[in-house]
Amino acid sequence: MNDIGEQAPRDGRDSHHGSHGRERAVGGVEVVGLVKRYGRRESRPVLDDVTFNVVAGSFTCLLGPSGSGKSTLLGCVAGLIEPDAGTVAIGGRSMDRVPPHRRPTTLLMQSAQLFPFLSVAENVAFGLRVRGWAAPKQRRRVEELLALVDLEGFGDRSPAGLSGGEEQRVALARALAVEPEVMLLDEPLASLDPPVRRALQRALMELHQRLGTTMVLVTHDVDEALALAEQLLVLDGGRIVAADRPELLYQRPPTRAVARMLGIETALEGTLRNGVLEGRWGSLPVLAENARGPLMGGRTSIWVIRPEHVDISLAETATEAASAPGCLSAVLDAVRYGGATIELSLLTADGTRLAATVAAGSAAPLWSPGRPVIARLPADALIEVTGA
Amino acid sequence: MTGRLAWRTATLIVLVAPLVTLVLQAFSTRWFYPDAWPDTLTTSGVRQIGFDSATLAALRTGLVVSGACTIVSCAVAWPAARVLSRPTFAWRGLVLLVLFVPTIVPAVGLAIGLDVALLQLDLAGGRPGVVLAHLVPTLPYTVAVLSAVFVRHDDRSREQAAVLGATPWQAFRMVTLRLVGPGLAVAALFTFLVSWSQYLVTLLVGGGQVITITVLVFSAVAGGNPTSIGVLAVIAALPPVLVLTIAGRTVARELAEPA
Repeated sequence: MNDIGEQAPRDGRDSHHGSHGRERAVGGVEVVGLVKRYGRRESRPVLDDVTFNVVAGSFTCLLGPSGSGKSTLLGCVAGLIEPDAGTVAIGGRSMDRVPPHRRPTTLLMQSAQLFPFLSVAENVAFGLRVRGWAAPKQRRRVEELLALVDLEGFGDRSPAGLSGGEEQRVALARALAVEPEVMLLDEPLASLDPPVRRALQRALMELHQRLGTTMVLVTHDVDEALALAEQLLVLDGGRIVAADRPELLYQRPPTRAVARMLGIETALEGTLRNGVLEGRWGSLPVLAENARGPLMGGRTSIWVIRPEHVDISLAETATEAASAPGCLSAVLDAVRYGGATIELSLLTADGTRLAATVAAGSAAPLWSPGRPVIARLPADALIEVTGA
Repeated sequence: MTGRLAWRTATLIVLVAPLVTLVLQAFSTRWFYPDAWPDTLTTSGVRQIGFDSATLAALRTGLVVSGACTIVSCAVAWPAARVLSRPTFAWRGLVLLVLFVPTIVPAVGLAIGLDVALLQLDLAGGRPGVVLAHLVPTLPYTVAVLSAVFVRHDDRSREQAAVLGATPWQAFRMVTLRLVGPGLAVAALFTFLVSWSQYLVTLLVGGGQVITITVLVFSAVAGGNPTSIGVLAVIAALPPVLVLTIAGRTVARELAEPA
């Protein structure tokens, strides 16, 4: 990716995106009490009292399942959807009654929405044209932007001849042309092939590092959210159910629903007695620092564990017995080969399902459904969550 | 001769033969059955009837009425079609059915009903009343064609333009109109043709005060003069043929471009 021109450096921040090369920090987004219903007043709101802050210059991901209200939320921020209640402020300025064309935002949709009657260059120049830029200035800017998204020489082409990835690059250049304070991305990579998708994810991260534009990406893809986000907002049922740095949320999901959304399937419900979680599936020692309350007194609680932390051995070769602390006996129910890793689904005697991932190595042929295994769940990897 | 060529020739004959007959009728004074060709061909009928002030006035009136009807019909149908094209709109079939009822009702009943209604509104007997009356048979076609167009081009292009900084007018002019232009042309074409062919509604609602070329053709038919019928019918056929030729080519060219 190439440089776009002179822009002021921004303050450094601690994040996996790094701060070197960023050229400016622009508008943050403040959303307070956003409510949106479609249809009757008594219908369930699509957005239900949504409040969050997006730090200026950050890359924020809004993660949520289909129908959780992600696109509606982005539409409200962009001004395309009128909320029933609540406020949106960008860069400290209220966006109440500000139409979309006057907002300092731009929106990248799932489909690139290139105008088919315009060439690639004319598409990129669209925002500049409506702002009354002179033609030579438009041309220079378009050339800069096409170079920025690695599409030099594509200016005269018709959108009809572009691949999906190229279309999204053009849409990205078109969105960047108007120098938005906040760039809203509504699953723009969702329909792309994995390699193209990964390439564009890298491109987005590079652009973000270079330009420092506030980016808000909506996605239902956990891997994408974890890879790109500096701040992760989890939206479920029209509510923000978690907001934190992605690595922190992944390490300590606050609720069972958030854990599930982050790909943590194993949830063990039981009663806490003297630092041990007891359930129909067996018993496991747990640690106080991972708990949300006292570890005794017969408190009922739910604990989750990430699949890569579950240690699996075939029962006949296991060095530990199923009765050892932290171990459960189970049967392999399903095996899914995933390239570098193998995803295993196990069932305990009472039917509780455990998820585990193991490295795909020479032992791969041994993992076959129906084989008895011993699952070791280390105490320090078990995290208590609320059931909501 | 291949089957395809035979089919094309047959279609051409069916479509063109009546028009050729009319043209020959217009340029003849005596052409009776069983003659295959007129006795003499002359331009006297065309000169006398075609350039008559009443004919030219009727042509002008027809163009004004149908032109106005096309503009109003498209303007009214635009928002209606946008609503009908929404996937969430549950009553699409019912609304279209209600809209098409006037085209199912016999023309006499429709014309008399419209005449009575517009008389009560003091709008009968003038061009505005006739334009309004023409909307009843034309609107269903305009709405149906436009809603099909909007189903193909949803609102996202307009929204994309808006988030790129286009004002509503810029988004309409620079994006929406460019996208739906060919479809709008087809809708306008249909509307114009339906309005142009209205005879009974124009006659009754116009109360003899609004004489379009179509009304004149029917009067000529009642009069029984073959030359008059031929000349007036050819003149009446000219604007639709011209509109079809010009707009049809433009639309075909636009539609041929990749979407």
